[in-house]
Amino acid sequence: MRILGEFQRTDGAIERRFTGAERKMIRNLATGLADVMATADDPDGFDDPVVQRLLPDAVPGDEEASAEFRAATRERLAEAKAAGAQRVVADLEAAPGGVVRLDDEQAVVWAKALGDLRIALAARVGIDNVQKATSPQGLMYAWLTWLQGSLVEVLDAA
Amino acid sequence: MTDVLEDLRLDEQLVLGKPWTLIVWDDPVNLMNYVTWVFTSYFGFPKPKAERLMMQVHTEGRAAVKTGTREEIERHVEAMHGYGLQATMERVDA
Repeated sequence: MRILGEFQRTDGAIERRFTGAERKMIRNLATGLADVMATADDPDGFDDPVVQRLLPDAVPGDEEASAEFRAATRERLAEAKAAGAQRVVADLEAAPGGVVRLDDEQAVVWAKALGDLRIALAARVGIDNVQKATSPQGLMYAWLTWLQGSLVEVLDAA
Repeated sequence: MTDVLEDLRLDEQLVLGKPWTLIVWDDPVNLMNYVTWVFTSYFGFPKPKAERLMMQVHTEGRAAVKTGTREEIERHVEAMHGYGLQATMERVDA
């Protein structure tokens, strides 16, 4: 019995079985991230540490150039991050018996989204807190770190 | 004749235009194998170059990853933010 299975490449797909608790945890985090990204352009959103970390200034020290970059890219980036998080939720909900099968294009979406979830978690509760594996957020973060690392390892071996 | 000269001047501007550099910064969240994978899969860098740049980010805090026109580098910064990497751009002479 595999309790903590890694992602594995089988028959051209990248596969992993998720428990109900794992699916629920990712769904909650990913839904939260999609919500935050949906309001990234609100005035309140600008001060949110999660938004600031995921959509940072492109040209520090040059407010005009940074504003131009924001105007050209911010909406598109926020939408892509929300869509990635929602895609992960949809893939988990559609997984028969909790087994997720990803093609390489889906796996790239997942690798990015898992990274965004870790970044968001660290920005929300503080990097020092998530690196302490004793808190619930710390355990979640450690698990997501391990999960993303396992997926990247499979992608990188292609 | 004037047209030709104007065309030449335009070309000269393009060639002499100050290039921009894509900077990737170290951060405490992104995994080393993830950063290396982004450099190989997105930029098409060979593995040794991707690993060298990743190590430079990790040990020196930042690395200049790519140089190009402002438009090119803006596109790369957007892509890096899409991957969750801390990326900025600056003029080469900055």
